[in-house]
Amino acid sequence: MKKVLLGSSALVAAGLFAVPAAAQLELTISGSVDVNFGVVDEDGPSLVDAEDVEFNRRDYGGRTDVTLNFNTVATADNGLRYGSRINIDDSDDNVSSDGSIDSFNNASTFTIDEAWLFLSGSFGEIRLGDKEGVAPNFRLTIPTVGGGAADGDWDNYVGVGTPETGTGFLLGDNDSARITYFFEWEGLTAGASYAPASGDSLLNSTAQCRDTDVIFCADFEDQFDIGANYTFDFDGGSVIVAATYLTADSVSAEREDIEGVSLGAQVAYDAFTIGGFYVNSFDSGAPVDDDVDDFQRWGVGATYQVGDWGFGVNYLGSSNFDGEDGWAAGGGVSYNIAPGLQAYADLVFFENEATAPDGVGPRLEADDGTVFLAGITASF
Amino acid sequence: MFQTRARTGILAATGLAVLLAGCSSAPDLTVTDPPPPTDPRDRRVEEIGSVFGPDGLVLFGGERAPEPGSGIGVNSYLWRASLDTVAFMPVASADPFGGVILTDWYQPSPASEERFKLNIFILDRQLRADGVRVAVFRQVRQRGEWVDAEAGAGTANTLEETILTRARELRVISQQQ
Repeated sequence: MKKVLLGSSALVAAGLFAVPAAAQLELTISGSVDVNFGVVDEDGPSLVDAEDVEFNRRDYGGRTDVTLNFNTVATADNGLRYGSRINIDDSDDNVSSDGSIDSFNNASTFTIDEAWLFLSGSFGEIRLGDKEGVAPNFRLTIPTVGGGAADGDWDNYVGVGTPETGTGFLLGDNDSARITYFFEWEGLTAGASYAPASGDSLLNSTAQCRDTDVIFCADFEDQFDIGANYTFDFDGGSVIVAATYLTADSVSAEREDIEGVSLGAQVAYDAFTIGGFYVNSFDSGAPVDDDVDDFQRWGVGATYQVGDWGFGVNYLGSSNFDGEDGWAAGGGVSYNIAPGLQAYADLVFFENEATAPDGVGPRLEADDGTVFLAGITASF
Repeated sequence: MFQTRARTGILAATGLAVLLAGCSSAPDLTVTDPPPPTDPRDRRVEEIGSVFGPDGLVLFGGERAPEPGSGIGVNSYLWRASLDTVAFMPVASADPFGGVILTDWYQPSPASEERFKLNIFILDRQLRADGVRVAVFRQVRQRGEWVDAEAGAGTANTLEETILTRARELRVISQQQ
């Protein structure tokens, strides 16, 4: 009888699907509103034995960030899953239109950050559209809680001397129109992607700039990414390792081509997760006539989750073309107030080694400081 | 030169993957757990969860869409069919949002030497054959004391089928109206 009922239920289900095609499509909206307030105690870079550079800027402020996702997904009769994602973010409010730093310019201009569609089946998944390549997408960084501490919003409260720490490639992390293929097999996820240009158009590629530095921009084209990560479980925990690589041609003959490699690993055991990564962007986009150092970033972090509480510590380091080192280290705590509502607080220390431009003139002392911020995120 | 070689390698690897995927004997490469978003803020949305559940706000379509007219947390036909089926028994607890019905002990007659108790769990918003589970408890009287005994084989299954049959009837009636 159960078989009969099963058959009947299948008929009922078939009846449910025999409605206009639009009803078969699932549309979901997700996103978040994140607000934090912070204070910064910062010594600006200064000439040796000279007074610190005075900044006409605030030492406390607030920041709001909004992200909105529209997702559609449907399954065709032949089992093909397909859908799309549109990600809308308020634009980076750290850089003014003229390229100058303005940490507290909170004007929000909403832009479509990502827009792509996917086709998924037993062959794997194909993604088409404005999305980062698999090199940044498969990259492993560090585990974090709440605001992310050293991998969080603290740099929005810092002035000129922000160290160039981070978790991404110097160039090539951008959302460009690209085609991506990846698959899963026995714990391995691997893929490749190709973007004709750094922007949406072959005829008018968009210059990608180094963080907050308009002097350093580069158009590039024909970007290829590959990436893979492998997960395996052991009693009580799991390990994931990842390696990715990207390469692209510089449009300008005066700039080096783009290249980057990343390695990362994370181990989760019980309520603990620890991980680390290394990213080398080599001399991506540097003037071809300059003999520069590799642009490198690295970091380690650990988190501990107990109930609704999360605790994390982490450290990020960097070394730029001029061989200047920077680092940020911090700790954070988060508390899940309710589903979709989380409060957090971060304390971050940072230091940025600085030299005079082109090595001319006296060496500058490092910029260093401390940032404390607290915030709350509502996600829906 | 290195980049040229690397690019050739990438193209070869991509081509190989596509060929493997297109091969009839290729392994199942279905992506069940895509990489998390690169943007830390988007990752946090996934980690924190949503006030609307893990899928966010579902506007239309999808399995999470409730049955029309349903103001309860589980399939309304299964819920009503379950209540109908155990209407002859005293109900100790009924949670329409969790989909749990707990009956009190039911003794067919005062002279009966056995009594029964049911726990009914409705597991889905959809009208499915596996959307209901019934647990049957039976006690028999021995020397004036109630002691646990095994319920008849297939009793729970029969009750599940009865509930499903009634649910199907209710759905047919609903569609005819």
